[in-house]
Amino acid sequence: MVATQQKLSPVPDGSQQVPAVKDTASKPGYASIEWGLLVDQIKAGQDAGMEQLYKLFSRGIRYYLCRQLGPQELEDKVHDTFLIVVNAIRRGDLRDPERLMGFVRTVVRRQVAAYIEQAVHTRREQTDLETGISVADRKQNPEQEAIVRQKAELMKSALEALSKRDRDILVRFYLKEQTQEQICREMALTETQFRLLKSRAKAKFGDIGRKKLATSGIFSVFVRAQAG
Amino acid sequence: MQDPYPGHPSEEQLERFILRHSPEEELEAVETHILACESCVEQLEALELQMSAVRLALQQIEEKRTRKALAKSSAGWRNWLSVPVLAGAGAFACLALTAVTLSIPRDVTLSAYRGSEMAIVSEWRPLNMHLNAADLTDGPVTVELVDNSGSLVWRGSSAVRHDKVDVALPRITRGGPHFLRLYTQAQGNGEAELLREYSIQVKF
Repeated sequence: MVATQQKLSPVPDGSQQVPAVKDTASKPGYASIEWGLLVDQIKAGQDAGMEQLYKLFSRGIRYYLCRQLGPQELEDKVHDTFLIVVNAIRRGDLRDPERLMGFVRTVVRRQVAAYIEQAVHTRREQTDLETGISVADRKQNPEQEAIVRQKAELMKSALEALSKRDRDILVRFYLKEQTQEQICREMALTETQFRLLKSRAKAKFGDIGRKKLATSGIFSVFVRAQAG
Repeated sequence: MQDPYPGHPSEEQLERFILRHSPEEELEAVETHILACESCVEQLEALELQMSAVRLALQQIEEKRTRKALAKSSAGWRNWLSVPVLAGAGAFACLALTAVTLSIPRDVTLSAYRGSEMAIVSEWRPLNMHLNAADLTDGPVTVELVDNSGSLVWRGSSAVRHDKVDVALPRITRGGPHFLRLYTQAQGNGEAELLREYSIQVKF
């Protein structure tokens, strides 16, 4: 069900509470979070706890909701999700603070299901109305599209330089979106061979791209994958 | 807490997540992780852009290859329709037809004697001669082909059957009047008796 409660400001004014993050200089994440303290702060209605919760989950929840539902009314959906999480924590629905991440995931998934159900219901009930139906927009924004086009143009020569077999793996995986199992079956590969060939193709692609675009960051993802 | 990815999901796992190919167990772990991991969300967004670009580039390459293949196949047909190729093909067809035609024996029926009727036959073509042998006794005969000057061109044997003699002549390579003669087969020292003579005109 979609939250309809009064909206809560997720980033309250400054507070005197101790943040639940031990080391803020480290990579943004949750490895250093004291979940028990965070949950206690939220239960106690302390602003620092809610601020920390929002900081921790807002990006991920926004990404997840956008991926599942599209960008329409995204901020409202993110806010509704936070309300549900905070209220549930305050009610004591979260018994084990260490399970907060899994709890948030469950809430977000239920939210997504509720929005979809609502959209289906609205579509069924109001087919003659133009409003009230949200359809996920999977398209990139114009700026992203321009970046993608530019990158694709630069990538083409690098991809064309790959062997037919290497390129075939990339075509199947990225373009045809075939699963690893299907590619392995149709190309008579073991999973290990597939991983090796794919990473080799990407490595070659990265090498070629690095040579061609030494000053560009376009291939950074693939190059980083090689290094990692 | 139990964290399936105390580090971060691998790029491979993130790619599977983007492509919605993650197995259920992995999906749960990745989703749970990314909800609270800003750096992985950043990497996911970068990967999505990257994958879109790879997809677009691969798509354009594939389309280009398809267009090239199509152009090549249609160019092949166009090449076959070009004037020199067509002319060559026509000449070859003519030669082949001529060769085939010349190799097929022509049936020629001769019913009259020398001087009264002359069949016209083609040079360089085998001939199946059907000679009228009315009033001749059935039995073996010798057949001779001579030219206008009486020189022997070919000799063979056949037989009179039901008032007819069938003779398969080889190709006659020179034009002009020729004569076919039927003889009785020589027995002992006796000379062969001329039974019939037919005339043919060989022309190119």
